[in-house]
Amino acid sequence: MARLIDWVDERTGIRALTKAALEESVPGGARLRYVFGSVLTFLFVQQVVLGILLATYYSPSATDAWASTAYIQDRVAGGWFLRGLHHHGSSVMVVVTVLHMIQVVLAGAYRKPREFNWWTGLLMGGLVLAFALTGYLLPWDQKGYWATQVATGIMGTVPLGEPLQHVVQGGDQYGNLTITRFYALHVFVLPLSLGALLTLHIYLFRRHGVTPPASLNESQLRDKTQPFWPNQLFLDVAAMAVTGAILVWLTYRTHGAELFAPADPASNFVARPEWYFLFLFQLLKYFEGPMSIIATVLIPGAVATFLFALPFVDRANSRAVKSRGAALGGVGLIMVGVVVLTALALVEDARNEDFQAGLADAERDAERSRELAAVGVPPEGGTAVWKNDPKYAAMELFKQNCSTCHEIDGRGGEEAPSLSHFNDRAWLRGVVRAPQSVAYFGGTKRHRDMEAYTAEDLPDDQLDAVVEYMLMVREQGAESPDLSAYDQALAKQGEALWASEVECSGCHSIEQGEDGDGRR
Amino acid sequence: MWGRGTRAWIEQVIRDSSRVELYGGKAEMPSFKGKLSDDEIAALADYVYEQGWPNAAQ
Repeated sequence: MARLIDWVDERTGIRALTKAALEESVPGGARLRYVFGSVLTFLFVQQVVLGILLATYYSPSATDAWASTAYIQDRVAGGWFLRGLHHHGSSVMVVVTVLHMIQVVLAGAYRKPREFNWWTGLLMGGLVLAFALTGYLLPWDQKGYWATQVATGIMGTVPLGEPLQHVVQGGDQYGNLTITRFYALHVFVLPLSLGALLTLHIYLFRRHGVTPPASLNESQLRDKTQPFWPNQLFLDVAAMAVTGAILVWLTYRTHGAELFAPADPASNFVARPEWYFLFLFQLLKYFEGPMSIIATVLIPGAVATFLFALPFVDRANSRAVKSRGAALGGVGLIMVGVVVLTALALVEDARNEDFQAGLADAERDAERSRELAAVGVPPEGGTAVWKNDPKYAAMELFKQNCSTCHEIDGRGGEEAPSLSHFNDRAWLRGVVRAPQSVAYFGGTKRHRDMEAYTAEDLPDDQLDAVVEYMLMVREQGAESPDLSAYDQALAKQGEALWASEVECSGCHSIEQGEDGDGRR
Repeated sequence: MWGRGTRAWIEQVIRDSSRVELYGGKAEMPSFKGKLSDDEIAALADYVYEQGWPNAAQ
């Protein structure tokens, strides 16, 4: 073994390189706060390795992307786990990047002579977010598709953003070129850029060394200084192991990454960006229309300018935290703003019933589409899995044959009654209260003779009784009646009202086999 | 109103709403008997019925 190392060393100088790396001095000694850079490097390498493994199955096209991702998720042994690690790895990278930035700011490590290190770090932070954004679209599922549209839509609203959006999307609308461009960015442009910046960052770091703690004087620093090996290396490796363990735990706990139904441009989806962009999404809510430039350009631009200019903003004589109030206050304000906006976005969504209902629908569709994908995804692409679903086939039949006159879920005509929630309690209450509304018979030509029953004619409690009776009568006419779901006492009251005070029986028969719809 | 809104009733309406026990002379909806197969009519009736059934059963 020693002879082999000698052979390699003679040709590469590896011993000297290793020695230089391990003996790098750490002024003030090893500290936990120095681990973030190493953890980020570990995460980057891990993401690259996982990305390569996923790329062996993934197919970047609008027709194949969802199907290949579903295949990785549900069919490849351990595929869900690798995809989950890659997905959560991006979130963990964002968190560790922020922690690293906080540590650098608190230590004053952006100050002379480390300005370029700070700037390359900021650029790498931007690239981490760009990785997350481009990767989010690649499964070509509903969530990624619509969330990324929000992001590229924001891009299009900034000055000169429209041509940039056009280039990134590969046209005016999302399509096959969008996915190939995002894929090229995600697996070629961004890794190469991050790799180059990381090399420069590490070179600059080695050139200037670790920023020593401001609390120690020269002689204390000299006394406490240690080589990188073994203490700091041990802390770095331990931190990487803990980060890896957190990632594995997150992945198991969530059973990997979500995969929603295939992207459908014709659908309505409750689009939300991933959590690390929620602050921007929330900010946009406060600046609508022409004012949106404040949220898309002015505020983010001011924040970026402040961060890049931080080495010049901070002119304090000392790196001690207490003497750098303005610089630290500015960074703190940005952090608090991001946290508060993110929290507001999460709370508003949690309280938004429409959003929650839409999310529940999306999760149901996701589960169903993946069940259907297990049977096979047709060559037309992900959305074609719905062709294997009888319900979807019925929806298509409805669209082709019925929707000119009838509406369901907000789509369709008004020439005949709406069939959304057809014949449920609310629908029946509505038809009694306002039969000539377009939701009921208002759009018809021959069903205009029923008059409305107002709350004066028929108070709400009586209406409930009549509706219960109508439902009972309906159920009694079913092939296998099941009356257990109905309030029989209430229906009894409805029956009395039906025949007497309300006089529904004047027009409607309730007898089996008799003429219907107002005919006796 | 007997059985009105049941799956079988919806299926009959789709087939031919002008039957006397349905809408009779007031029928405006075209008959789909012959235009759609039995399976298609059944699938469509299921779909329309399920629009209201979850709430109606609550």
